[in-house]
Order: sequence, then C-alpha cells, then structure tokens
Amino acid sequence: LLREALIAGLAIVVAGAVAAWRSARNAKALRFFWGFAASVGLTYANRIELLPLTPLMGAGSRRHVEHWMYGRLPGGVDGGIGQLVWEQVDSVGARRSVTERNRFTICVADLDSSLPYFHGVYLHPRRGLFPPYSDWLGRTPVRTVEVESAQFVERYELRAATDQDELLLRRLMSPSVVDWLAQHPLAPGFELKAGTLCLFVPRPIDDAGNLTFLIDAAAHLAERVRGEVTEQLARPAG
Amino acid sequence: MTATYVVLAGLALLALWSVLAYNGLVGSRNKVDESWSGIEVQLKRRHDLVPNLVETVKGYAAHERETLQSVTVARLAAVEAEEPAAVERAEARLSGALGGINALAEAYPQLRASDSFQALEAELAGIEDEIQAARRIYNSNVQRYNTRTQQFPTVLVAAMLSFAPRDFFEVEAPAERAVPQVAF
Repeated sequence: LLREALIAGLAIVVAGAVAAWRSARNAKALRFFWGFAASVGLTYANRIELLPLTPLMGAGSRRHVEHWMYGRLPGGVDGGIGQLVWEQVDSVGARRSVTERNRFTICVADLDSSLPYFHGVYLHPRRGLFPPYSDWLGRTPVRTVEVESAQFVERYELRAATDQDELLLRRLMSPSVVDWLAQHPLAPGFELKAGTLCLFVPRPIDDAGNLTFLIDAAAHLAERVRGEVTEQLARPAG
Repeated sequence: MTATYVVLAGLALLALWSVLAYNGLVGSRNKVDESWSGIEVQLKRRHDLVPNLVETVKGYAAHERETLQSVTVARLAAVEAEEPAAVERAEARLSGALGGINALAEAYPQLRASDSFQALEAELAGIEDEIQAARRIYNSNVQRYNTRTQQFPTVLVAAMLSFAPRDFFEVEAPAERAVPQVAF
C-alpha cells in the first residue's frame, strides 16, 4: 500500500512539474511574441484560424495559427506573421488519432491586385528522401516548373497551377529573385494564390532576428509581385 | 561459381554507376546551357533598350556625337558577339560606353531631369541587376559542372565522353574593376 501511495505521489509531482514547465514556457512565448508584435507595430492574437487561401493555409485535416501578429507589414502591405500548426487526423470508427503534427512559421501578405494574374505559384523547400512532413499539395492540380539555377533546384521545388500564365511566372521568377531565394539563409518557401502571398519556413521561429528576416523577405517578395502586376496593368491589352 | 556472381555483380554496379555519373554530367551541362540562355535574354533586353536611350540623349545633346556613336558601335558589336569570350568583351565595352552616357547626363541637367531619360535609366539599372544575377547563376552552375568533371571518379566518365570544362562569365565595366580611391 505504501509503495502504491509513493508511486501515485511521485506521478502527481511529475505531472505537476510538467504542467508548471509547460505553463512557464507558454507564458514566456506569450510575453516574447506580444513584445515583438508591439515592437514592429503589429497587433497580437494568441490563437486564431485563418481562411485556407493557399494550399498550405488549408493543409492537413485541422489547423490553427498561434502567436498571430497582424497589421501593416514593412513595405506597406497588410498581413501577418505567426506559427501555423497543421495536423493530419485519421479516424478509425469512432476513434480519431493525430498521425502528423507540423508547426510552420508563416508570413501572409494581402496582394489583392495579383488575383487575376497569379492563379497558383508554389515554391516549396525540397523535402528530401525521408520527408519530415507530407506534401499538402497532393490533390491540387499542378505542373513542375524548371529553373536554370542548380543551387535553386537543389533547395526548392517550383510548381504552378495548370492555368498559370507561363510568361508571367517566368517574369516573377527572374534571375534576381531566383538568385536571392537560392541564397537566402532561411530558405523560405512561398505560395501565391487567391491574391495572397504566404511565405513560410517549415519550422517554428521564435527569435526576433529571424522573425524580422522573414517579414523583410515577405515584404521584398510582395514588392516584386506588385511590380509585376503594375507592369502587367501598364501593358496594352491583347 | 560464387566468384563469377561477384564479378557480374561488380560489373553491374559499375555499369549502373557509369549511367548515373553520365546522367549527372549531362544534367549539369544542361543547367549551364540553360543559364547561359538566361544571360542572353537579359543582354538582349539591354541591347533593345540602348537605341531608345541614344535617341533620348540625342534630343538634348545632339552634338555629343562621339559618345553616342561609341554606344551605337559597342551595341552593334555586343549584338553580333556569339562566343562567351567575345560576348564578355563586347558587353564590357558596351557597359563602358553606357557609362559615358551617364557622364553626359551629369553635364546636361535638362537631360537628367527629363522623365523619359529617368525612366530609361531606371529600366537600365533594373536590367543591369538582372544581368548580374543571371551571371551569378551561370557562374555557380559552371562551378558545379567543372567540379563534377574534375572530381574522381566522375572525371573518368567526363574524360571518356568529352565533357569539357566551361569558362566563367565575367562582365564588368572597367570602372567596376577599379579600386576606389579614398582621400581625406
């Protein structure tokens, strides 16, 4: 009886310690992200759900965004940055179990003006021989796009919607963009669809330097997309 | 019997490796060719822009015939160049000649202030950036390809099947090579 009581006591102490550790960790993350959001002029929300505007934003069978910081990003684009948690849930009878859980850092920018021109551009980091997460583009109709840089191809896989204008895509993926992405320290991927640019890194980022870096990268790419749209608008029709 | 199987298995592995090495070399070489086409596209954009630039400058500084002619001649040489080495020389010359137009703009404030000249200058600057990026991509591809052709054991396949090393592409205006002089 004494032994059972000791084990139960120990289990309670361990459970209490784990709960306290998790609570402290969450509080620390909350303080950090809230402070970071304030420092870059964004508004903080602890947990939200975003519309699945791009395939990644609709990945898995359920998803939510933690530490969402939104508002006007540098470069004058509206959007936000946060950690997307997406899970694959399998059901066997009444029993449901999470078979895959991923946490990505995403930076989303509203680019409504790109809606008529970019129907789906998906740049994903290569997943390697033993992919750590499943390909969420699985059922989306896409074609693979060849890029001339060997360094870029080693790092990324570029795919586009089957109805995506090839010329416009080539102009967006100009040598300067390809070279910039091939050498970017964060190796961010992106999806451009439905007037939304979603830049992402397939891991959680929880330091101010890399978060700022990702926001800057999104602003740079958004500027590039807007430039292409402006040029397209300036071209005579036909 | 076992020894025969071992030899056969060894030969099969060697054949498989040769096919993979050959395909890898072909893939690398194709990337080099693709990226060279990328450079040519950007250079053509620059060539197409030069006549407009010359015409715009003529409107403000028609008597600067020498500078304008040197740009036109350099452009023609650049358009006609085909081999990478010749392209490299011709483009360096064109860059130098375009530098002369910039110097002209300094001497003609009205030219510098004109909208069309500013737009062309901005477009030219954008194209120059793209040329630099395309050049970096090409040189990176060449470096990978050359390394592959020189590394053991791929060098054996490269030597047998004539995979010659490629040259890097260096287009720089003479002014870019010059070391900046700082005086206090």
